[in-house]
Amino acid sequence: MDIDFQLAIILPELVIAGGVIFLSVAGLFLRPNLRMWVIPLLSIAFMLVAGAVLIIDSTSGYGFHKLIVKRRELDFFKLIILLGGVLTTLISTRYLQRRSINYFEFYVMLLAAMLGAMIAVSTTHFLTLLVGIEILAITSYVMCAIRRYDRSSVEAAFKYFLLGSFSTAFILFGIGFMYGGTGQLHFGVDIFPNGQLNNSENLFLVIGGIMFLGGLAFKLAAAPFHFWAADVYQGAPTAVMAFLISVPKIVFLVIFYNFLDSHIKFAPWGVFVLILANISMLVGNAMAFLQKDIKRLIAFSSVAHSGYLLLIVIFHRSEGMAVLGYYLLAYLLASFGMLAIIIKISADKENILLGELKGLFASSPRSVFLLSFFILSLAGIPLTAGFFGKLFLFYEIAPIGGFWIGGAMIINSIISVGYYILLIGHLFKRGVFEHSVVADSKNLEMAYWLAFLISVGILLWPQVVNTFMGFA
Amino acid sequence: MEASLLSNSLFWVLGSVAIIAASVAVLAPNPMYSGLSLMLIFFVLAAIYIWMKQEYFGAMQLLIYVGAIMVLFIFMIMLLNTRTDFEEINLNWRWGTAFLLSIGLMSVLIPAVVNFKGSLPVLGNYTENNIELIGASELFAEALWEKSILIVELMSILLLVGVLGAVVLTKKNYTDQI
Repeated sequence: MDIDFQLAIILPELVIAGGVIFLSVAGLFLRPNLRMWVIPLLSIAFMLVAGAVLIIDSTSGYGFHKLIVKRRELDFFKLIILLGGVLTTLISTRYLQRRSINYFEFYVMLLAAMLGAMIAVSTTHFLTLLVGIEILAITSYVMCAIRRYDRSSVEAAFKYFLLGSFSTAFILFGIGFMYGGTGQLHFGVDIFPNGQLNNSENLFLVIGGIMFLGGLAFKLAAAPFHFWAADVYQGAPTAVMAFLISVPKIVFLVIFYNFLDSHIKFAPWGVFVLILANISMLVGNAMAFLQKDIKRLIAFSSVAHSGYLLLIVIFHRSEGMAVLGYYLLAYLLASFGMLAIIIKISADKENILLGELKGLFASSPRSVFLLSFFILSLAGIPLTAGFFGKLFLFYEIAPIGGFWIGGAMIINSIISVGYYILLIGHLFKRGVFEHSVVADSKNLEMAYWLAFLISVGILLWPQVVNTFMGFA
Repeated sequence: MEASLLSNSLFWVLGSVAIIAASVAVLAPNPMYSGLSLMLIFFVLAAIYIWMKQEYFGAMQLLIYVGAIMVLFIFMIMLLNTRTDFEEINLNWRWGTAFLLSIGLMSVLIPAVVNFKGSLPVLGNYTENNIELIGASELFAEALWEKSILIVELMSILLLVGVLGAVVLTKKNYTDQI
């Protein structure tokens, strides 16, 4: 018997897994009025403990027969994922009560999604990766369908479930082909013998890799596999949408990065991802102009952001992970801030059209100020965190990708500024704002001020990501 | 083992039965026949596994696929089949797309199989020799419970989450909110 137990390596995941089991049992025994605040509080506490462990423990290495890898760069992404979980919990508490869908299992699902995301990020083994993705996916389906008496929400969840299962099948099929072609389930940089995966003679590897990457692109909502995204995000509860457009995006981009990092010279895969990136940028930005619903607009802008970030997966130097981390952190904060404000201004109605934003400035100037800040950050206007994200991204890809790739990214971000500015214009239109604004939720306020403060923080101190990852 | 695989007549018999059953599963107009021929495919696969000395996988194939999943499928078909509106749907354009897709997949897969030159590395203890000596099931158990214990444990979390989710989403009159 040689069981390679290195529990210290998965300590943060163990904390979260313990939280899942503890909360799912504890929720049954608590009285309803106690559960209302104990379960979210405990789930935030579990996430904070896991985050603290991640910050303190700076070791690195493999564990469990190399099924799990711990590296400082990956720890940073796990921290962002946990930040996303904390923000989701904060914006969900009153929101779920208002929509009368306040089941305590929601928070258990959220914690389990954190677990799946963290596992999927920190592995270079196909099967562990698949189980991580599935935990994340199944919890996402459930959270998406949590407004189960609302037809449009159930329809969105069902669409998400079917297409998500379909893409998982593709991922699994691709893994099967790659395993058949190489006899290996590992894909790590320093595990895999050099050159074996770079064999373009091996057709199984080409087919398998394309299927695997195509399935991942489905999950990432990169065009042309993005068709589900707008419908699902529109139908999902707004708090869940904030989770869906940020955390899975982090996870799948890191998987793309981990998978392609060592084998990017393998031409068919690189070209495939490059095509995905360019189509995503174009389609996302072009379709965002046509949208009337603010949630659909954000959905298409997230497709465009996937495009930018796929570029860095292909063209990067040794510090590409830090740039990816900075951009994703800025993106996560901006999306969470934005959707928290949208939850705040849509107390009585789930989906707000752009035209209905008129008169918002008169009724709630602070929301308009913050919403504009987050929109500008997504657009990448100077003096926001998103601007630095785009700048670092450009510096990283331009020397390697060359003129056309850098130029495509710049042109696409200029196009994207158009619809963001139109959106801000709607906020300042004169008129009477017809929806009621949430006034009684301290957690919601905490969430968007937290997002604002961290945004300003990483704006003033952009080196924090490099320092954490040890690139310095 | 691979050379003997292709030269053995039993393999060709089982393989052609599997292909015929698969075609029937796709082409049969009645979903009941499709279900039953799918069951036949699973039986044939189990036979191939056992013939390749992988008794454990053969047994699992029979227990899980034939015993549990297929029976569920057939129950579902029988429940739904009370209304016979299956044949009314016009599937012509789907047949075309499916045909093109499968031709495309085959045109990539057949060269991949024919041109495959490399020999796969034999990893760990799962060699032909050890299978004779120790037994496939023991070796598989070792791989599962020692090397892949983390995946097994994660699967248990996945099942827990799936059960919880199913309960939350389908329980009737779930008004006991927090």
